Amino acid sequence: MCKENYDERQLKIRGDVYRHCWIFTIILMLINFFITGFGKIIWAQASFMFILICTASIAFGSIEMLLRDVYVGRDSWRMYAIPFCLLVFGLWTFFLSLHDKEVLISEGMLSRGGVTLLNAIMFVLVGIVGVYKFIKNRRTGSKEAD
Amino acid sequence: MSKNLRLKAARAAMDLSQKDLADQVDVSRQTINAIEMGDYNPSVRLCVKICRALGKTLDELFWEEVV
Repeated sequence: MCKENYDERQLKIRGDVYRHCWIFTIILMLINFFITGFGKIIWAQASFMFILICTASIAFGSIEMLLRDVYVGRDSWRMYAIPFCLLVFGLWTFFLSLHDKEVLISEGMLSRGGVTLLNAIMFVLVGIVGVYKFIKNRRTGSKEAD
Repeated sequence: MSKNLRLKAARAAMDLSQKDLADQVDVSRQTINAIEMGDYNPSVRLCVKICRALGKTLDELFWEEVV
């Protein structure tokens, strides 16, 4: 992945996306700070809060990169392999959580099951966007977008 | 930015797909598409590469026509 040779347009867009991710993460952390600090609402255990914030930021950046065609790999299978894997993993985790009937909220806080479910949903979202771009780019390639 | 129809026409005249041209100038197909759609303003270096691949001059492909 680190050896990908992105062209100038992709490099510029990737830089923009990383900036957006950074801002998004800061906003989430500020919201979390105000909720937990001033609102005194502990919505999840500390470690789970940060795991969710990180996953949300990664999902946000991944979705924007996929939509703007600057995800990993230039027109290669790698661009779609990771979202496909995330989709499969997310769906598997989602249905496993439902099947095991895990407790989502405990003592007014998101439990481990709840965090796992939310993470799975975010992975599935990235996967769905990856599938959408795969289909769209295949159609565009075959029609030559002319 | 307006569409770059001259680029598209020059590419079509050489019977090149966007992918073919993208491979020749070492960019992604989406970048060629973005340039043709007017969604991306390429650097001069990339413009020169495209001109060489299509056998055209910068004026013919990229300079805006003055009315």
